[in-house]
Amino acid sequence: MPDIKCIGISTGGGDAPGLNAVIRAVVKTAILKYGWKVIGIPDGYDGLIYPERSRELTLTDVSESFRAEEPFSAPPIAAIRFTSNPARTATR
Amino acid sequence: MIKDISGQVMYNAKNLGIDALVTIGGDGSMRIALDFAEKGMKLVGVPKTIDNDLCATEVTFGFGTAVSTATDAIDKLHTTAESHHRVMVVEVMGRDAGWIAIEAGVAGGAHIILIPEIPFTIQKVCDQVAMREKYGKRFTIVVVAEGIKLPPEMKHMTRAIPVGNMIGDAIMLLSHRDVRVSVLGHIQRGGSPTPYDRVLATRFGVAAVDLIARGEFGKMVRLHNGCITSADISEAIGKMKAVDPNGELVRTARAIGISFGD
Repeated sequence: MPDIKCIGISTGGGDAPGLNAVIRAVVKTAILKYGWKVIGIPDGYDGLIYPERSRELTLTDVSESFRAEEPFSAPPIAAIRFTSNPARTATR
Repeated sequence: MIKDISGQVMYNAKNLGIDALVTIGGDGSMRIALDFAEKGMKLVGVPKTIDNDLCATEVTFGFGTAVSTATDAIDKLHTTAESHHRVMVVEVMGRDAGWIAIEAGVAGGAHIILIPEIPFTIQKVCDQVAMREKYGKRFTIVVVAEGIKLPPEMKHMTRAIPVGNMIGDAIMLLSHRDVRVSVLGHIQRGGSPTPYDRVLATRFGVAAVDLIARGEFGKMVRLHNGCITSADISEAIGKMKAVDPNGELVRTARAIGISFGD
């Protein structure tokens, strides 16, 4: 069993109905089943280039969110297309 | 000058206190995920595409909702098509696969379905329109997948406009019928998810967190024989799932009189 205290969640590519349900499930399982902290990373991998955009996601953030495909009320972590691949750009 | 900032990304993730990452995405996102996994980032993947074109998983969440939206649009177009004796062309999404087109076409009662997997000609499409008229049906619904390969007679045309419009123009020029085109576009990607998609998405999310808890990194969750399992991301990417031109779904559509323009 790895030593995990906190996980991040990010999405890339286009929007898809059901995305918020995944995020809700990840946040709730991590907190309720394992007692971990969850950080929402916006804008795909861009969110890790600009870490100040990230924030903790709590149970309140994801309650009721699965019904619609609207982004969360606070800074959305719903899908925004990747603008860059931090790992691959070097070779181009 | 472009530089590799993956080191910075790894550093930032560590600085945020992130021990492991759940990354939700399609083929492209999974490729990037793999690069980071190779650099030592602990991550698991959740497949995401409305196009249902991933080999690794039986179905993806969002596909059912997209089919539902497209079916609803075809249902609504039936009324106008029938009362105004028109050929209605509906362009649906699906990238290079015809899943949304064939499922929404069968569900919505389309008469012709054009998909990337089956080559077609405008002549055959117009023949079908004419044949329907012989039986007294003065309207035809044509579902066009956005990823269709244009037939040779249309190769000289540039794809500056949606393919649905191009097909509509070609049918109008050849058959001299009244044609109207609807390009559904992004309404298929949004809206309230179907119960099936909500449940599948929830199962994926829970399974992804369980993967992390078990230390099974570099894997992605998937639906396999109706059960949630996992596969190595490296094995899952790059394999597209296309509609089998001779498969049961296509044969079913043909059996109920749907033409594929071939």
